[in-house]
Amino acid sequence: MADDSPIVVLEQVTKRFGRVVAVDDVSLEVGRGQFVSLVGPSGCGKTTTLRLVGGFEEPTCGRVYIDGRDVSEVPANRRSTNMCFQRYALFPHLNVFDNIAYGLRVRKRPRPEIVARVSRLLELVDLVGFERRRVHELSGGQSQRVSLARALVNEPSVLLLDEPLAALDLKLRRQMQIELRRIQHALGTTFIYVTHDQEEALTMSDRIFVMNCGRVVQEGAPDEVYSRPANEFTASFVGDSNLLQVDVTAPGEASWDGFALRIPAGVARPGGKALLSLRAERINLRLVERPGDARDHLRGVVREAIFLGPLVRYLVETQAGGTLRIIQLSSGGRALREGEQVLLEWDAADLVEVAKE
Amino acid sequence: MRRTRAILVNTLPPLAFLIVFFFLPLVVLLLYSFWRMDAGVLRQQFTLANYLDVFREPVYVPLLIKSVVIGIGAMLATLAIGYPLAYFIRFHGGRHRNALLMLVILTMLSSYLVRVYAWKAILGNNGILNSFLMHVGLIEEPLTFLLYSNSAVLFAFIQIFTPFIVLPVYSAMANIDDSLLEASRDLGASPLTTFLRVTLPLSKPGVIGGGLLAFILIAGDFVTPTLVGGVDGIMIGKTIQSQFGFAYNWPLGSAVAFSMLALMAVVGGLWALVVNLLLPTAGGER
Amino acid sequence: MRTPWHLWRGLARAPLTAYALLAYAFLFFPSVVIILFSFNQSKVTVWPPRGFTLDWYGEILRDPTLLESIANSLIVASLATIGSVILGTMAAIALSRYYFRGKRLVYAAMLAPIALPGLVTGIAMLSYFEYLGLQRSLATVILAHIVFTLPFVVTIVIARLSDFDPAVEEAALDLGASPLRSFLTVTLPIIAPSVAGAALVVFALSFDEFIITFFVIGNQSTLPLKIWSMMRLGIAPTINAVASIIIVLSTILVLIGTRFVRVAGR
Repeated sequence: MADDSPIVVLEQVTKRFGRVVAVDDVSLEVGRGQFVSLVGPSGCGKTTTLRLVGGFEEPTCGRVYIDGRDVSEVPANRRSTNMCFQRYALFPHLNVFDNIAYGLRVRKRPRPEIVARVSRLLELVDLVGFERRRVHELSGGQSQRVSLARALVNEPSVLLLDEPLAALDLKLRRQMQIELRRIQHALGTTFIYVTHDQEEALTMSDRIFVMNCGRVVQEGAPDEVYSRPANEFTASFVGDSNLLQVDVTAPGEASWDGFALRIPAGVARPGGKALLSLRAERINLRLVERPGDARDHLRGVVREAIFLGPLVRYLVETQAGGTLRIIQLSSGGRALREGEQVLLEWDAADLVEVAKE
Repeated sequence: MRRTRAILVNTLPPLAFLIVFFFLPLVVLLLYSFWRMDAGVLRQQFTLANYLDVFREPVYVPLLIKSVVIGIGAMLATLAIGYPLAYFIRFHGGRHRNALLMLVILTMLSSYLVRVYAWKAILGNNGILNSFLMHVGLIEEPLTFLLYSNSAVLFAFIQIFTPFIVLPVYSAMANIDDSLLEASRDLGASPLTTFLRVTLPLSKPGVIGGGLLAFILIAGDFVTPTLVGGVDGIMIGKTIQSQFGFAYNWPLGSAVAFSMLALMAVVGGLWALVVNLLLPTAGGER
Repeated sequence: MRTPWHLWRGLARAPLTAYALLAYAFLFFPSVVIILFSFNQSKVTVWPPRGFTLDWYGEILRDPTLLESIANSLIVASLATIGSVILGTMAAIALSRYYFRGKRLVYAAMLAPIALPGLVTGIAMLSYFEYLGLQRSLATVILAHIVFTLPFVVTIVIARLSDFDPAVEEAALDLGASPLRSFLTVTLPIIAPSVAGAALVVFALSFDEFIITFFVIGNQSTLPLKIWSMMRLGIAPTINAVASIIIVLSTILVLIGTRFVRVAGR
């Protein structure tokens, strides 16, 4: 008998600090057992939202529900959530075992139970043998895992993670992303994850909430949010997008800075303007080879070519005047060079209309 | 709201304590300064007579000025002696910094009275300095001007209060990140230039704060003048103390005390101003 | 590789070190003199010291008023330490963990007693007690000592509290601990060394305090007051002995204290 009701609900929650509105009328629902990310730039309110769920802040307006209960006035120590803090916040005066056992000791669990549960968690986070280590002896990755184990010991219904991987190097971060996903699947616990790294959010989540200026500007599954950004902010924040301001000339046709192009049907009406997002990797670049080639295509000159390993990023100045960003896989052959004349082409279906801010 | 309760629970007791036992007493003292001692009887009627006495009687204003002058002089001397020491500990102390600093603190914590008394023993006619000089044959008669004079007071102050300046100056210097000095060096500055343009300006808060502390402690002191000052070395602190002692004129003593505080505040403010002018924050004019 | 910078610094080091040695000698020599002459057989502090004796130390034990004043100082210092540390730690917690209107004012108020010369604090409290009709005694002395030592406790404990991630306390709450339990099991153990250091500082300051005590004490004496009256009466040698003991004891206290309070900064 599966429970389909959302486990966390925020209902028109606003949080003000003095005159600063950190969270602005946010309503969201988190499904049970899901891995959900709050993603956005610094200061967008994602951490505050997380803290509101955890009980570290009280909402100025609105209500917070966990598992059907109104917990808006319930303090952090009485909520069934647990948090993994950004800088780990391990107890410096306790060793690894005591750090993890803290939650159980608060609940006055008997010693055999404590030993058993802590050991299980150490196994889960792959830190068996570290029981007696002091906090200052741990590396960043190890501290992160102790922090995770400590937060899981009370078997919370919701685990909150506040940019837990921010301090780790790239390789370790990638590893931990997979680890966290694995652990979440194994436990079935709902994870609410905060990050400013949109790539990370896309990798790990079942559902993403994109936030900006205290509001949720888009939510949905990663591929949805990625390929169909609803607004200018999401288009530029998630993934690498080009934003084209076009004048619609006829149904299915528009003009971008003088260049005529085809657009998806259903985008605005003739005479109107539209803002279209085009992902950098959906544009194809090739050298101008045969004369006459360029007749219906957009021509351009490569202004910058940046080698990124598996990818190459190009900045191309088009004949229309605007600049486009393109990402291509590094092919076996040579990359295009600055100053070279190129042709740009794309599929009209990849143009997504986004709302102007 | 839980947060408000936590704040109140923690701030009210200490704050209330200070209000009851520090701020209110100051208010009462101020009240006393506006009352009058009339032939041994306290008259609790508002009057400015005490303050007028402070300005009109020939003894107080000169004494106030003298005390301030001694305070400033001693403070500058302690700064001259203590600043290089702080510099040494901070920049050349290496691993032993904590220990070196502790040595300085040690001198402060070994009984103020005793340290003044030591000067009495050293400077007296039968004292150590005199007997030493006679013992080695430099003089035949004891030097009587050493003790019970203004210079004895000044010298004792300097020796005793130097540690009080070393700590704040050190603290300000400790806040100077080593990378700033490296950056200066990297940009081609000599050690002297680095000192003048980076270290010195950044040590300003310590100089101001430490100087202020030393000045306030010295200018208002009565212990040292009493023990080693004699008749010549009298200072305003002694006068205030006697008003609360044998002279038994609390209102007058209070008025003198507040006059002293006012003067100290003015001098303190000037000190901060002067230091700020003399030591521009890094980036001064070229 | 000797760059000019290294050369200059090396050149500067020698005179600076020499200066430092002189400065330390300057700071220490009166204390050294006192200790030296506490063993002096002659009653007068004349150079050169003659003979060696422990008589003056013995005199301390034979003087009941002196012993009583030491006991009083111990009592006052102990009680003042307890009071000051408790109140000061509470204030430090509120000031470093929370933001509230008037916080700057409260912080300034907590540090105010340091800004005033002891003389003024002393006469203020004296007139206050007199005005209220409160009998002056060791109790009034304890109150006065708490007042002037509070800023030290607040400063020391705030420094430690700002040093560690406040999220640690949130973590404790998150794991189910009540605010009180979080304080006792997490905050307190972490700040304990600094609190201990502050306690030592308060104890030392209180034990040595003369000026304020002079005004607010009743008929009893604390050690500094006893020393003061001995100085006025001119009984020299025993004072040397008492002073030497004080110097040695404060040295020990400071050495113990250094294990807890890092003064030289990070």
